[in-house]
Amino acid sequence: MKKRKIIFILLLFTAASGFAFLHFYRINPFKSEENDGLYTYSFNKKFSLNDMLVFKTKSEIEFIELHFSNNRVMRYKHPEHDNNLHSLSRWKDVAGRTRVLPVVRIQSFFNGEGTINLGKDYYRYAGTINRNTAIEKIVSNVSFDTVFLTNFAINKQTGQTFSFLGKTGEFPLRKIDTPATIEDSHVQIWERVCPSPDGNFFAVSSYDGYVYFLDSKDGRRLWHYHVPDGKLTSIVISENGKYVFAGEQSADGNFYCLNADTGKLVWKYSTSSDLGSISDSLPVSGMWTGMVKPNVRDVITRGDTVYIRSRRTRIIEVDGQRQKVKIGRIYAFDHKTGSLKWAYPKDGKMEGYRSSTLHVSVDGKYASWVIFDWDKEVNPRVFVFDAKTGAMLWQYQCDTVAKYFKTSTAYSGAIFSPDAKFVSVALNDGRLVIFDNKKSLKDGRGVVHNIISLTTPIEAGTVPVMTYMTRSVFTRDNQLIVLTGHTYTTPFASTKQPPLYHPNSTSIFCLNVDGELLWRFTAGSNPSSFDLKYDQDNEYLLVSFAHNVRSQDINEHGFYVFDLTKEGGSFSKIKAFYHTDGICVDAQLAPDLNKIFAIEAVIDMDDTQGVDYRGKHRVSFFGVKHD
Amino acid sequence: MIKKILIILFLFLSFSTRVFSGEDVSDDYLIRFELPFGIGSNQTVLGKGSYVNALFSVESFVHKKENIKVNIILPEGLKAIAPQEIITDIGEIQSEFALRTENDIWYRLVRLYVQPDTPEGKYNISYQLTFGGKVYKKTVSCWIASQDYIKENIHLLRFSVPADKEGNPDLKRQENTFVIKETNSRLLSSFNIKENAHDAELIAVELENTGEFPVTLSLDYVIYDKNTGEPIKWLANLRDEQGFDVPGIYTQVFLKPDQKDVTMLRIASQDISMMQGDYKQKLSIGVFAAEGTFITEERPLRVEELNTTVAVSAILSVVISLLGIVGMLVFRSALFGGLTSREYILIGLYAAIAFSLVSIPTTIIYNIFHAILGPFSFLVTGIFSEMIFYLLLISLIILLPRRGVILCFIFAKFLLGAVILGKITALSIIWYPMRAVMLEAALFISGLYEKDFLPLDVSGHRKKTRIPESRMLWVAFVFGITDAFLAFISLNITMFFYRLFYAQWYILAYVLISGFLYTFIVVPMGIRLGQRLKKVAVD
Repeated sequence: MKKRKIIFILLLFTAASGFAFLHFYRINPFKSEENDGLYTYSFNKKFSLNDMLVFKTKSEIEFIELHFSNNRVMRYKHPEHDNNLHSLSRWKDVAGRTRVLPVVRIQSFFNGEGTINLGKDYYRYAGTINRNTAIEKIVSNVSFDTVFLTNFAINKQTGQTFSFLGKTGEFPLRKIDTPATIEDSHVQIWERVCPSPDGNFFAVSSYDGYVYFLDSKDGRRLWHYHVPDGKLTSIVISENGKYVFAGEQSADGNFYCLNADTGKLVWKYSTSSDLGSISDSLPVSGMWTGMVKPNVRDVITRGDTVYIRSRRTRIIEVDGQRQKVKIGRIYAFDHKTGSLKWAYPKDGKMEGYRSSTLHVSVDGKYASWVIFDWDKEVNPRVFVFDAKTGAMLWQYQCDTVAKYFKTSTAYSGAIFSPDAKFVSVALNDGRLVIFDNKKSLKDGRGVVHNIISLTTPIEAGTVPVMTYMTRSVFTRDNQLIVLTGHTYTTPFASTKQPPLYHPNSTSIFCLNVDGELLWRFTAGSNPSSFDLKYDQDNEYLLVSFAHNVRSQDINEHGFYVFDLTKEGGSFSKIKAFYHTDGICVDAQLAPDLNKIFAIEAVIDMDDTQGVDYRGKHRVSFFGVKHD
Repeated sequence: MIKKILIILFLFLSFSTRVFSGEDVSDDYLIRFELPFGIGSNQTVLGKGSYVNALFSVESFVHKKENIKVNIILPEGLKAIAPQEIITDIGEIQSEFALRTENDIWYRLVRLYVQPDTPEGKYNISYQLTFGGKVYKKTVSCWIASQDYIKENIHLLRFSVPADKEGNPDLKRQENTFVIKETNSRLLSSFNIKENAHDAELIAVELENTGEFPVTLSLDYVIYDKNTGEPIKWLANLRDEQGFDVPGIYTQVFLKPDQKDVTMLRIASQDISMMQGDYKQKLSIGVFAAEGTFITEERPLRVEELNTTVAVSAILSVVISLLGIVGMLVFRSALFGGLTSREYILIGLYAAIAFSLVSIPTTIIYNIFHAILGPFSFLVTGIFSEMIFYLLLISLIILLPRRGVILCFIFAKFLLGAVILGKITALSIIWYPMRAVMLEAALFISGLYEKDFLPLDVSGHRKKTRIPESRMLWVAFVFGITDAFLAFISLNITMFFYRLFYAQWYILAYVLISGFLYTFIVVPMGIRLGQRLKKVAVD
């Protein structure tokens, strides 16, 4: 018996020693050498993309160099010591093009403590990471008190974040039977997240037909609501936080208003009563089974009004050929009672035209909608309405760049600047048309302020190489942020590599209304969603990225946060990047700017008949620390 | 001495590597000169006499406005055509521009012409960038080859329609045939059958490059209407949102020297808006960015519609058959308990007659008439398999108007066919029980089981009463409809198991004639025959 007690105590002691060793080793794992004022720390530690390198020192840092096992080097210089940017390493991107590595300024450098967000920086600039990639050594002009890797960027007890962004939790979503595939040119998983006005809760419209309402502190599910048929395509919480609105694509094309406290249905509206449904269409199969059903895609709340757009496609046969007839309508409801305030068209539906995203100005005064149809060769026609009454205030007929397009389209619609002074429409022919809304209201017709050519196609041989403007938004200073998608050739070219990359693809542009480029950021992936929010002191742009069907580089999946108050170009504005293995389908900022919510979906990276699933289907939420 | 030589050699190699390998020497600006598919180590062949648009770009990595001047020097044999405003008198390309911020990019497409008399080989294009008082240089390589070289060295080895996932011809399918899904979404949705979103027809094109230069080829695949010669427009594609009037599929293939490659072209089922019918398909192959095509392959194409009703019919028949077999076993006492030995013998005799007059002749004459009449052989064989069969069946029912008689009759006939002619297949095992169940149901509906259909006299014998014509027509109608249904199911089962496809009109003709008409005609005859035989039997 005594022997056993001794053995047990010894084991306990060994275990405790081991933990203590690991704990302390973690804090100071380095063996350092000093040579001519340079301190070298042998590290050899593998890391993941969400790791932070945290360091503390009493001395002033001039630079830090990170040397990686794949011969990449990243160098950080403190801006006060050197105003010039110098790059030290070069790497080739997946297209084989040499990229120059710029210096990235040390983040959150204060009081002798700093962090380097490896996830943001490494894969963006230093090459492809895999499981075996490690930091081999760190070189600096200072000796560190502590240097360690952590992916625990936020202190759960105190809430203190080491860096701007710290993940606080996640909520798993159900498995998707048919995940997105790398061949899909657009993100097909229509899931959305919406934070409550106070940021304490958030709602998710999930692929499995559930609306989830969750506590943002711990991801606890407070309630859920299942739509009986179809799939959810939009979710919004009302400005007073009392209602959760959700739209679906189904035979009924329902739009739901749910009580935010209980999840009970308050009211709903079936847009199929206006737009029709599958019964008036020829039988279809495949993806068309969804498109013949009404789809409530855009949900916007302003005060006590909620606005939606519903659309569908009807298949008819004309002279033995199948043809598509697009149908749409926009609505304004009282958010509490569901009573219809107005709709356009007032009676019936808009038939024969494709409709764009619906937008409503921040002040709730104006609503916009664009219609077009390439089959009937109808170029986009912009409508601006009185958002209170539905009265049409002005309209404008766009043209197209005839060389490449018989008609242009404007899927993302007409957006308003925060002061409603400007309206911008992004046409697929590569032009941005900016209207002077004030003058247009006065004249009763659209008055063009400027036309900017941004993504005009280029020809490689006989093949037009194109990109497209996916989304755009005005900043609070009336600067225009435009996101562009990936490069593609003709719609049915099955090549994965276009002959050339369009130089303006997968980018974020910031322009003024006169067309002057203010800053630009070239991402490596296709933007899936964005969110721009500001308060008195801060203004952030959040852009989520899905897959790039051309490069198939998963390192670009995730979301970026840009601090628009920072001076300089995009490199100075990058606040954080969070990498997801799967595609980031949506990411949103809480209105108080203290939290971020992001949905990740699984993607099949194998473009043959096999499977290679990456990522997890989940909603992650993050704490945000401001400067 | 050797050391010095080595040092000099090292320096020389370093220098030459720097000039010819295309390394960037500017930290703040990235220079790119991209030929289609000619990025990095890929080298593309330009055919002589061809035109190509090359992309030239400069990207900034500083947030600073900088005025930049660029010069491109082309080798002999390559001529810049457009845009004119950036082409100098001596054929150089020159331009000045400003870049303002990080990732700001200036680009121009330069249209190049490859002179026809240019010798084949590798050529360098060099350019330089001037800004801030410094000059930066870069080179890129390309190959130039003649059209004759292309024709001699690029071979189309195989063009398989349809192909399987491995790129081989799909031997299970008929050549040059597409099968599109039946677009009955209501049927599918009512069974909650999830459709495979990746259903597609595959086409495999195998090409070979036997030359010494790499080459990029363009493949163009179009389907035409056989009568009008117009290309068929695709129904839909989510990518097709830009208004392009694209009739077919277009792709590029890059082939290194001595390389074979199989390229798969994929047509999603929902993309095919063609109706069932005959078309033409055409594959054209040319050098990417060069004028004209040097290989063209044209063939007919047949488009068939896969009827999901087929699958449902097969499932339905299996279910009914199983129910029939189970029901027969469970209710065997009720069904067969009341039959006497004499009645069993009568049923057996009828089955033997049916086998002799139906099964054997049908087997003998089927091949002959199938050869003569093709698919319309049912017009002749139906006389046996339908008319004589129902003549016998109905007359038996008149003699023995009881449940279970049809089951015994069909089972006995099946056994005879199985043992003597070896006619026992998966299809027959499904078919016979289902037929028996359906005919029993028809009997029930027609009312031949009812006691007052053939009223008994006071002694318990059946009255020698002539059955009214209206009743006979009703029975004929019920059996006709049932047999029409059975004929429809039979065709669908055949289509399902043997992957055959019948035209809609053929199915209709078969169902109406062999199914309904023959049965409708012969049922009253069977009733009359049965009544006459009953007289003999009673007597």
